[in-house]
Order: sequence, then structure tokens, then C-alpha cells
Amino acid sequence: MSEETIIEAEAHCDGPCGVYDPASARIAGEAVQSMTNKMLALSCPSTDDGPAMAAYLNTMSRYAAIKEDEAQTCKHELLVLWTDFFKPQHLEANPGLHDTFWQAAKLCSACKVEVSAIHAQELMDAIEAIHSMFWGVKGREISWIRAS
Amino acid sequence: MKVVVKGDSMWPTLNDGDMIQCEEYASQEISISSIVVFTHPFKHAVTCVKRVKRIEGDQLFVQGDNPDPTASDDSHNFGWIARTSILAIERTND
Repeated sequence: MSEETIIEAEAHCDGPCGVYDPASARIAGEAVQSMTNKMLALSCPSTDDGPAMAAYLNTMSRYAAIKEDEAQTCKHELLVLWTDFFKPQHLEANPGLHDTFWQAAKLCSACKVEVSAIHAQELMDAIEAIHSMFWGVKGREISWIRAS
Repeated sequence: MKVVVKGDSMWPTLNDGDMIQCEEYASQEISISSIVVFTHPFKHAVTCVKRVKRIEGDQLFVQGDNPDPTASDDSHNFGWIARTSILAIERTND
């Protein structure tokens, strides 16, 4: 090989890179927010109306179960981004990265144990911030969208 | 020869897109902490750049500089590499 030879050498990560997207967390977060709002809007029937109470409890239970599952899914998706996608070099451009993820994961837990529209919105705000950091790192301008 | 680095596994020493000056490997001495360019042991079409961490005979343990354990495909994943797979060594000023 001569002095002028130029070759490329890979300095890549330990897996097949590239298949990360905060959309997975966003969809789960939207489901948490939707279930939270549905739970808050559901009216409790008279305790004398057995069938109506059964339907109410069934519906409320389903909302709670979905909220629980989706909050856990959201936390998982966020942790994958935090621990696998983002690398130490990304902290230079995003010094608040760790705190943003920590707060987002805490909000997932809060949304599981509470029925809080405020915390559900704060979770979505945190996911939007992570969306911006993620696509910023990738050097792409991807608009924040919601399915709902 | 010049080598263009693709990826961040050698961060913070080398950034994605950096170009380093290397000399073709011709059985010269390889030291611990040298940066070497070599053929991936399992993907022969892929050329890699990593730092030598250990040497045992004709086998070398190479590792990326990035402190993130998921940031580098190196001897932690594909094992020790053969000295014969070395293509080039980064040229140092000393």
C-alpha cells in the first residue's frame, strides 16, 4: 500500500446499529395518558345498580391494567434508548441527558401508581425532549408527532 | 497510508470521520496501547480500528477506547485476533 492509500476502518458498536426510535416510548406514553384521562372521566354509577357497577369496575380495571402495562413498556423503551443508544460522547451536546431520562423513568413509575393527568403530561413532555435529543444526535430534523 | 475512522468506538481518542496516519504492518513490533487496523475475524470484508490491550504470542486482545460497554465491537465480542490479521499500525511521533 502506498503513502497515498486511504482506507476506511470500522469503529462501530457491538450490535447491528440503527434500529432505535423514541416512537416506541412515545406510543406507550400516549397510551398511559389516554388511559389516565379515561379513568378520570369515568363516572361511578350508583352502588344500588349492580350491573352498572360491575360494568364500571370491569372498565376501570381494564383501563388500570392497560395503564400499568403501557407505563412499564414506556419505561423499558426509554431505558433501551438511555443505556444502549446514547453514548458518553452524546453528553457533550446534551448535558441534561441523564436527568431527563431519570425523570422520565420516574414519571413512568408515577403514572403507574397514580391517576394523574399532570404526571401523564409531564411524561409526554419528557418523551418529546428525548425525541429532540435523539434525532439531534442523528443529525436529522424529525417533527414531534402524536398518534392521538 | 491514511485510514478514515467510521464510528465512535474509539471516542474520545478518535471521532467518526477522523483520518489517521498509519504505516503498513510488516511484522514490526506491536506494543500495548498501539492503535491497529485489522481485518475483522468473522467478517473478512470489514476493516476495523482498535487499541491493543494485551498481547500473548501471535494473539492480540483489541478494544475500543469508548468507555460505554455497548459502544465497541472488539475482542470482548469476537475474541483475540491473530497477528496475521493486522493491516496497519497508527504512526506515532515518538
